[in-house]
Amino acid sequence: MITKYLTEVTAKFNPFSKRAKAARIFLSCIPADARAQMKITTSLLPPHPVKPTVLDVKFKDGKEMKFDLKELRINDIVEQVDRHSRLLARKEDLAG
Amino acid sequence: MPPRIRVAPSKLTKSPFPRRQITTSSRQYAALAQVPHSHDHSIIPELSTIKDYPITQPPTHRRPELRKSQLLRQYLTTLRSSPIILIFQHNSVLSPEWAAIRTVLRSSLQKVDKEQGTNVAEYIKLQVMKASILTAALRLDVWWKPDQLPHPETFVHTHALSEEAYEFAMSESKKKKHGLEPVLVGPIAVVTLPRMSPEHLKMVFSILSPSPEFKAPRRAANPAYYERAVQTGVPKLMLLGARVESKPFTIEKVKWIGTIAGGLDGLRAQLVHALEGVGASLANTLESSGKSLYYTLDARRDMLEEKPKVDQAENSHPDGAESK
Repeated sequence: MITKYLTEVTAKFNPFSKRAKAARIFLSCIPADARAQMKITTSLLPPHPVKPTVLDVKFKDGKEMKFDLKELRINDIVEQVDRHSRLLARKEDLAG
Repeated sequence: MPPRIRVAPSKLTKSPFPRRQITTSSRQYAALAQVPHSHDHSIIPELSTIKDYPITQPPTHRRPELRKSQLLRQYLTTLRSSPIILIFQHNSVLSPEWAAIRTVLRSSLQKVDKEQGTNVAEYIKLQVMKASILTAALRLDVWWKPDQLPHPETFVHTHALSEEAYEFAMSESKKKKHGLEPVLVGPIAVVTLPRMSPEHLKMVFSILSPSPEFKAPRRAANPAYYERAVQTGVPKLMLLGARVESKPFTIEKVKWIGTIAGGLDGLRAQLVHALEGVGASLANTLESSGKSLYYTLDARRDMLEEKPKVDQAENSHPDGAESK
């Protein structure tokens, strides 16, 4: 996963719910030294009351992505994030 | 210098530990056939008692020298011997960070040990576990109880790595849920406590997952905690849940255990106090009816004793009136 262009990651999940899996694996994909460059906020939700699992990602250009973890799996999320990151990388290359 | 005896490369790659050969009936008969007839029959042990493996190394489903087998065995032992297991997720924690966190944890727990007069710190371990193998070990720990299963006599071997345990783990117990399945996903690290000790648990929380309830140690009290490696490593650990006395616990529940003031002794003191209070009030209640009866009767006796006096007084009074 390309994490160079991410500025903020917010994850909220209940670890005892099945939907937390994608959010948790996404967090584990972030490299060890990336915390200096981006803000990572993780909050763990209690089982009651049931609140939706949240995974938000912000990019350097200000774009914000919100993922619906009911439908998406980790591969889909990584694919979407990488797609935008590649776009930003291309822009950066062209700007020199 | 090449070896004198040429060995085919295919033979060299073979494991030095050959896989268990299942004894077939024909082989047993062959062994029997080799015994000369002139021997006394009492010397020959019964065929069923002859084993093709040492007692300390019973046959296993997977080769015992494999890492997976040993991890399963190790995890199962850990699960069976630890009353409290805290489950963390570790997100790209580097090895110097692990080392620093472990050092700080050890030194802080030793301080708790000194205060409590216990010797638990060196047995509290923070270790990374493979989630999939841990799940299998958990399944065996919860449900693999050969004595309680129907037809226990059909199991030849009952140890954790046996073929019977494997079959059980793959078939029957897969349908059941122990409650920790969704937690055991991704990179997992585990803190195991060999004793139910809320004081130690409190310290583990304050080091590994500081929160308003469990504040991180101050710089003056524990300068090692404020080293760079620890400060970058700790936010990468995420407390997910726990397993306490073989039951899944959410974060809130397990944090409650940490908040028990005075540890286990404090809890016992609270219990004794509560029971004493109940006992005193119960004794009071039981006593009260007897007491009230006693008072009533006593009052009645007094009344009866007073009555003759009054009668006497009344009798004497008319006399006095007559005398006037």
